[in-house]
Amino acid sequence: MAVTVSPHPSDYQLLVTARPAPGVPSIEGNGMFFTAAPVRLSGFVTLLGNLGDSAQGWKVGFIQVQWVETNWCSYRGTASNDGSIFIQRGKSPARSQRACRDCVDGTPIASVFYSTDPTDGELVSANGNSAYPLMLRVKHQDQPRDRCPLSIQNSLTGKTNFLHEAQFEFLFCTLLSVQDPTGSFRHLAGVYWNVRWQYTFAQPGYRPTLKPAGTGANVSALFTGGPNDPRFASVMTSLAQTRTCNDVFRAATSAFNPGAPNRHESRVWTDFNVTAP
Amino acid sequence: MDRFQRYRALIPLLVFAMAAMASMSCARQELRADARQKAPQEMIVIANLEIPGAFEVDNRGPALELYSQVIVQKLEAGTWTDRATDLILAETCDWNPKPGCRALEHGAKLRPTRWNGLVCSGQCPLGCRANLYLGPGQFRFVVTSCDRKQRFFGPAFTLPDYDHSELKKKG
Repeated sequence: MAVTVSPHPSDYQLLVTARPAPGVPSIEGNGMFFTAAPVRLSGFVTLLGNLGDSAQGWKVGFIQVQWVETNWCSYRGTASNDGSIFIQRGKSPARSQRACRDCVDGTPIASVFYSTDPTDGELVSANGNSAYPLMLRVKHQDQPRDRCPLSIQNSLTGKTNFLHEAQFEFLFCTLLSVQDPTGSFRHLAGVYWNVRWQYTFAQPGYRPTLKPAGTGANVSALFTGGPNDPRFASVMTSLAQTRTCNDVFRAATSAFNPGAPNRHESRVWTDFNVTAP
Repeated sequence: MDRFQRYRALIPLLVFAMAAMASMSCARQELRADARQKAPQEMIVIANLEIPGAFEVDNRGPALELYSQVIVQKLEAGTWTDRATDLILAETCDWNPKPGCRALEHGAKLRPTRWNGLVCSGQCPLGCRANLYLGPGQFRFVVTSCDRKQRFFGPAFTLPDYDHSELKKKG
């Protein structure tokens, strides 16, 4: 008998051990910093086999995709004639793709899993000489965060514009997955989760005021099997993906550059269309 | 004659000054020789500070350039393993920190902004999507010369689990 994944519901498990929560934005240096309490998951998978079967090449770990990113910051001068600025980092061309595969820095995106570093416990590889049933345990965590500069210069008025409002929404799907020695993946269970911030900031001192509808965190019910979600199916395990979510959003920070297409400036205070690129 | 007498009185002072200068010069030469002879580990000394992840780099050898990217190593099953983080030898947080080389004079000390245990945004507030807290465990910092040929190893320190970390306390 070849090594197989036990399909029995009691032989695999995915648990949410800590739920994400958005923190109150805080000033760090010259930026407003948005950080969340981490999401944490744990799970296990059971491999079945006979004495002498080799489990070499079997891996159990987490795959994570981000399928929504909302990311904009707006700025206003002290008076209307000082102007306003809108920075859109969540849409093209600043953001090159909507959904992306999320891997920690140092883990190649081609490895597909969230982290391949053996010290993280995110990915476990089976040994050749294993006793069966073989239970492989893994754990997962993520702590997304972002920031906006506190102030930027309006090129039309020459005045400093101050952070007025910002919205961030990061929506993820995390999967407990098995990779067999041929490289094929099987997703056993998964969960959707997100963390969101929307705040306005008042001068002096950038006093934050929460917008309740735009701020919070959610964790879905756990689901079994792989997601059949067209919003991110193409990025889950595809080797055509070349940029991790960290790569994608870092490239989008170019939206702050003067003259960038996702940077919109006005000579007066303007309510920008936040859904526009 | 009067003038000679006056200068004669200055001779002991002159001799003393020359001796002192010679002695200082010798001391400097000894210092340079000492610096040359020091093993790499004695030239750049990394000391852990009170809060886990805080550290100081002390150049006890000759002036040199260090590569700003700090290697974080974790002890796992008796082996030190490099971990990718964004920790650099920065005492302040720039908006776009970039690795490069940093000169450190003999006797100069550098106290970088503390590492908080995260892979991403581990030192300065940066954006991250995938992000891991690497504790608990035994860690050490490794600083390298600008050409990355020499490695200077810091002592081990213990990073607590997330719930007991400074990161959690800070909220």
